[in-house]
Amino acid sequence: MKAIVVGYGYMGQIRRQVVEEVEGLELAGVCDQYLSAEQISAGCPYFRDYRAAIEQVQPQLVFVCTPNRFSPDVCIYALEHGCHVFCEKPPGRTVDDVRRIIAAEQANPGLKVMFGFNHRHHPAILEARSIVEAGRMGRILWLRGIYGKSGGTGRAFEQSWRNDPELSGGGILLDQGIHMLDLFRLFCGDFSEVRGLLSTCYWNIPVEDNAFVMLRTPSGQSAQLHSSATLWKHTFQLDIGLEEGYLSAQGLLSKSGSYGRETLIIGRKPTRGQSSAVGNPREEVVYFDQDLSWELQVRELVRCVREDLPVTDSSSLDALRVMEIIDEVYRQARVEYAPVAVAGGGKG
Amino acid sequence: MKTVVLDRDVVEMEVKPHDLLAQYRRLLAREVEERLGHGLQACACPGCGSGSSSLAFSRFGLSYCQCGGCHSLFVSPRPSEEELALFYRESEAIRFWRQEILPATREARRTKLFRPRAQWLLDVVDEYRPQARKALAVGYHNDLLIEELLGQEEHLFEVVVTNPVADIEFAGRGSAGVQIRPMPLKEVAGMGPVDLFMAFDILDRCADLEVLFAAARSALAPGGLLLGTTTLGSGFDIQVLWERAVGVYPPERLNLLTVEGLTALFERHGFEPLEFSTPGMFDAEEVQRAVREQPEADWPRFIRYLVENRGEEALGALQEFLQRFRLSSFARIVLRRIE
Repeated sequence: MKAIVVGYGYMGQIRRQVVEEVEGLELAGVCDQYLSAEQISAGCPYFRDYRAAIEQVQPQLVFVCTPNRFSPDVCIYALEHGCHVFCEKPPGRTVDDVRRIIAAEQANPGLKVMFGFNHRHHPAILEARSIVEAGRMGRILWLRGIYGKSGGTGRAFEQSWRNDPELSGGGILLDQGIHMLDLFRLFCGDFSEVRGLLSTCYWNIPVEDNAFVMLRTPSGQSAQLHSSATLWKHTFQLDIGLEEGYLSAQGLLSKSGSYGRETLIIGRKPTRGQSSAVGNPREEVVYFDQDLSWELQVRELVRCVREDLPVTDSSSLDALRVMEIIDEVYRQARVEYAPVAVAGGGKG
Repeated sequence: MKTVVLDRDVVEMEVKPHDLLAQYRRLLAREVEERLGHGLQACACPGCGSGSSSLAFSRFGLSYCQCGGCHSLFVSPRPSEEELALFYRESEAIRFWRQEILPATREARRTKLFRPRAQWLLDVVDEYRPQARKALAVGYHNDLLIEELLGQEEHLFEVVVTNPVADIEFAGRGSAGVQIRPMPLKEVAGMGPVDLFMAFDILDRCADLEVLFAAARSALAPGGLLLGTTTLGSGFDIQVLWERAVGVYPPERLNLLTVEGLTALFERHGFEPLEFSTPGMFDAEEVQRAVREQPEADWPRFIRYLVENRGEEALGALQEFLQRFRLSSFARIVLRRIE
C-alpha cells in the first residue's frame, strides 16, 4: 500500500519511520511546505504541495501530520481523492473541523479514517484495559489524570505554532491533554457533564498553559484532568479507582525518556483477614520495556483497509467526542470563567 | 516484555518455619547421600548448554558446578528423572515435608503466596490467552494454586496435573475439571494441544530441562503460554551466600540458572518472553539472617556493614531494588510459544 506523509515535523518523522517498519506499507513520498528535499534527506519523492503529492503519487494512504489549522483540509482533500487517512491528533482546531472531516468520510464510505490517539496502545494502558475488562476488580469508580510538560527553556515554547491560536486552536489542553481525555473515554465511555478551568499562569502565550477539567458519566463515574505546560518534571499519570482495587499508569516509554520508565501499579483492596493492610495494600509494579503504540495503531488501520472493516479504534467518532469535551471547556472559559492571567505570569 | 515488582506483607517465617526446615534438611541430607548418590550422569549447563564448568561446592554429597558461559549453578553429575520421581514418592524427608511443614504453613501460603499467584495467573490469561480452555500443570505443589483458581474463577479452564506425585498431593482433594495423571515428562509432550503449560516449582528441580521445554513446545498450541517459577542462581542471596545458602540443596535445586542462562534456554526452544520478573521477597532477609547467625564468617565488608548498621527499611528498599532489576533469586516467567 503506497503511503505519503504530509507535514514533516516531529510527528511526520515518527510516522515516516512507522511507514517504513509496518509490513504492507511503502513510503511513496514526503510533503512539507517549509523544508527542502535536502533537509528531508528523503530517499523518496519530495513535494512542497500536498495536492501535487496526492495527484502525482496516487497513494492509498495519507498520513496527515500538519499543524491543526491545515489538518482538516488535507484530510478532506485526501478523502476526496480516494485515499485512506491517518490524521495526527488533534484532529483540527474545533469540533466543526472534525465534523467537516466526518462529512468527507461519509461521502466516501469505502475509505478509512483513523486518528493518532496512540496512547491507547501504550503497554501500561493495554495492561490496565485488560485488567479492567476482565472485571475481577469491579467497575471503575473514578479516573484521575495528570499529563504535562515543562515547555523547555528560553522562549522557543512561546514561539511554537502550538501556542498560536490561529494555527493550533488552543493550548496545552488541545495539544497534549487531548490524549488523557481520549483515555478517559476509552475507560469510561462518554461523559455527560464537563467543567473546565483554564489559566495562563506562566508562559507569555495567548492560549492556556494549564487546564483543569472535571467530568462525569451518566452512571456517575467521575474523572479529573490536570493538563499542564508548567510541569517542570514531565509527568504522565493515569489513576483508575475500581471497586476492588486501583491501577496507576505512570511514565511513558517515549523517544526522550523524559516521562520516566513506563509502569503500571496494581493495588488490590485488602480482603477480610488482611486488616493490617488496610490503607496500605499489597501492590504490584509492572515495568515495561517496549512501546509498540505507533506500530500497533497503524497495523490496525492497515488491517481495516485490507479486510474492509470499520475503524473502531481512534475513529472519527472518538475524535469528535473528545473535541466536544475540549470545545465545551473552551466555551466555558470564554463565557463563564474567563482565563486567569495571574500577576507575575508571562515571564517565561 | 515486562518486569513485575511486588510489595507484599510476607515474613519469611510464615511460609518457611526455620526449625521445621532445618529438621527437613537434616532428613534430606541423609537420604540424598544414601539414595541419590549412585548411577549419576554428568550434564552440560542446562541453561546455555555450555560444556565448560567448574566445581563450585558440594551439598549432601552431590556437586554443584558453575557454568563457564552463563554462570548458572547446577548439579552435575545428577540423578535421572525416574530416580527422582521414585525419591519423591518414597522419601521420609519428603513425607515429613508433606505431613509437618505443609499443614503448618498451609493458610499462610494460601493467602500470601498462592492467592496472589492465582490472581496473577488469571490476569495473564485475560491479557494474553483469554480463549484458554485447557492447561497442563507439570510442576509440584499445585493443590493450593488450583483451589485458589477455582475459588476466584467459576468457569476455569480444564487442568491436567501430571507431576509424578500429583496423586499424593491431591489425595482426597479432587475437583471438577481437574484431572490427576502422574506421568513422565516425555509423555507430557503428547498431551496437547493445550493453551497453558504451568511449570511452577519444577524448573529448578527438573532432571532434564531440555526434555521439559521440548515437552512444553510440543504440548502447547501455537501462541500458547508457559508460566513458571524458579530459583535463580543470579539472585542476590545466592550470589552473596553461595555455599552457605541454606536454600541450595538437592534434589529440589538441581538447576539454579542465571537470568542469562534461563533466557538462553527458552530462546533455544522457541519461546518469547512476555514477562520475566524476579518478584522474590526474601533475598535480603536470607542474607541478614546468615550474617547474624555466622558473624565470624568472611562476609563482604559492605554486606556486613549493611546488616549491622541499617534496619528493616533499608533491607526492604534493597529487596525492591533487586526485584526491579531482576536480581532476586525467585523468578516468575510468562513465555509464549513462537508459532
